[in-house]
Order: sequence, then structure tokens, then C-alpha cells
Amino acid sequence: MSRDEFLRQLEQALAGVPQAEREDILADYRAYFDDARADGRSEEEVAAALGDPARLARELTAEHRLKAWERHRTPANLWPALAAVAGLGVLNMLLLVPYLLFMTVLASLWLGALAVLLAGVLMTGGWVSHAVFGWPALEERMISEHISAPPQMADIRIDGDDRSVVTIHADASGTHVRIAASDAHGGHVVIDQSASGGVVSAQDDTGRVEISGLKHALHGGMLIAGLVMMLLGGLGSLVGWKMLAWVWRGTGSWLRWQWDRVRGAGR
Amino acid sequence: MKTQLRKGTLEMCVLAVLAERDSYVYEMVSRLAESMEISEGTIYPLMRRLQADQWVSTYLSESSSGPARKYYTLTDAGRQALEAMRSEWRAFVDEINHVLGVPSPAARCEEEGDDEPR
Repeated sequence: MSRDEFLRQLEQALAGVPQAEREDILADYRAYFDDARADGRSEEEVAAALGDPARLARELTAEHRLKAWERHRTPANLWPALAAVAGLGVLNMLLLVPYLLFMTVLASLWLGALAVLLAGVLMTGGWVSHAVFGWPALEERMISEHISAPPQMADIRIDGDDRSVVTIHADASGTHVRIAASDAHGGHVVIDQSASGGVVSAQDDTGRVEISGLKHALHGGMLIAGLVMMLLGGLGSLVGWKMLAWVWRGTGSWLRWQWDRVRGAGR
Repeated sequence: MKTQLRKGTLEMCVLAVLAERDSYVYEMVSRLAESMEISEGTIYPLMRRLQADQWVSTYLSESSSGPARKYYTLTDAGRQALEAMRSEWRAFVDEINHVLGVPSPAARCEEEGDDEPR
């Protein structure tokens, strides 16, 4: 291979490297050829000694991208680095799948913890704001503590044509309300609220869903819940972040290690 | 075996050559090739990595013939790295020599030293 051919192939294969760096590399190889010629060696001999320009370019590209990733550990820098090292044929792509899965799970857990933290901050903030400014009006936003029903309200029962029934029952003491609807086939929807908590249940001929223990959210409870969520969310976010950062750095070291193995291969 | 060893030590040899005096790539390759078998293609990527790690830095210097040449010089970090590698290398060679039953250079010097006064 002639000097020009070598340089042409190298330039072509270095497409993934920024132009300034590419120019720099090419200039260095030109100088190398010039020095070798001054030393009395033929272009072909030098080109052969330097090796396959495509492989050389792959190495230089991988090195460049690894460096970019080590400078700024962003996902945008990780993929090219992974791809470049993988392109050299030693990286085990099978290992990548569980790794990505692990990263995804870790990232979701972290985001979940962040969401809890945010909710905790909002709840606590809402409570403080309510205590200080009277806004937001918390009562309206929660299940009412007191059930407004006229004293001695009679039970209401509505019978449908198709044997469906809707009943509304309110306790005289105003602490228990039950609204139930059922159809001919045994399906029903019930909303039941009493002092001990609320129950929402729905059933049809295939299954049943019930949500119980719907307690009244008290203001103090809201503050405590908010603080607990802030604490747990904060801890979770911190630990999640540390773990993510640790794994992220680990990725870099692992890539570097893989790369060091590749670099030595085939010599 | 030889290839594996060479791969790991080329970096140290390049740093050692540069510790003697600043040099450009072709000259470094020629000097290394005098005493060891090297593949020319490996040096340049290695130099870029050493430069990125800031173990070496470059400067341009006028050459007697043609355009200015890029010279490489060891940085302080590079010098420290070389020293660390040197002592590691010596310890490693001593260990292996001990296992192989070859007296290490250090041990030989001691024996000779012991002989002299008698």
C-alpha cells in the first residue's frame, strides 16, 4: 500500500472522530511517512509495518470515544463508546442485556424514590401553607370527616326493570353511608363509608375488587405522611443516586478494561 | 507469553525512552526497535493515550529538514508513573527470577560486594 492510499483509507475510517482530531492524526502519520522516507525506507514497507489503517482507525476512534465518556459520563457519550469498543470485536454483547436491564430497574427505582420525595415535599408544603395562609383549603380536597345527611333519612331503594337495584342508606347518627347497586347477575358496586373507614368494592361474575381502609386523611396525618415520605423518598433517592453513579463509573472502568484487552489483542 | 509481556511493558519502555530525552514518534520507534521487537503501528495510538492521560505533552520544534516536528516530552505525572512502573518491574523480575532459580541482579551485586573485603 502506498503512503497516499494508507492515508486515504485512514481518513475514511476516521469519520467518527471530530475533524480537528482527524487532521491531527493524519498530520502525524504524514510526518511518520516522511521520517521513514528520510530513513531510506519505502512507502510500502512503512505502510505494512503500521498495519491495517481501518483497524488503526477503529482503535483511535474507540480511544477517542472512551476519553469523551470518561470526561463526561453522559448516556450520549456512553453509547458511542460501547459501540466503538464492541466494534473491535471483543466486547461480549450478551453481557450488555442484563446490564441494561439492571440499569433500567435501578433508574426506575430511583425515579420512584424521587417521586415519593416530591410528593412528600408537596404534602408537607401544602400542610404548612394551609397552616400559615389557609391555602389550599385542605378539607375540600379530602374525604369529608363528617357525612352530611339529614337526620332520620329514610333508606332509598330504586328497583330497575331488569331486576337491578340501587340502595342508599344513611345512618341517623350521620356516621355511616352505604350506596350499593346490583344487577340481576350478582354483580354489584358498593361504596360504604363509616367512622372506621371506607370500602369501595365492585364485583361481576368473573371477579371482585375491593379497596378498604379508606380512612379520613386528617391534617396531622397529612403532615406526618408528608414528612415520612420526604424522609423515605430522600433516602431512597440518595441511595439510588449513589448506586447509579457507582454502576455508571463501573461501566467506564469495565469498558476501559475491555478496551485494554482489545488493544493488546492481535499483536 | 512474549507478546503478552511486551504488550504490558511497551508503555513503560516508551516512557523510559522519553525520560532520556524528548523525542518524536519515528525516532522513538527506531530507538525501541534497536533493542526490542516492536510493532510500529502500536506506538501512535499509545502516544495519544499517554497524552490524553497527561503523562506526556507535545511541542513543535524546527527540524533540519522539512516542516516542524512534534516532539514528546515527559510530564511530572509521567515521570512519577515511570518510576512506579520501574520499581514494580524490578520487584516482579526479582520474584520470577527467584522462582526460576536465576539469581537476580540485586542478589548478584550483594554477593560480589560480600566477596570483595575478604
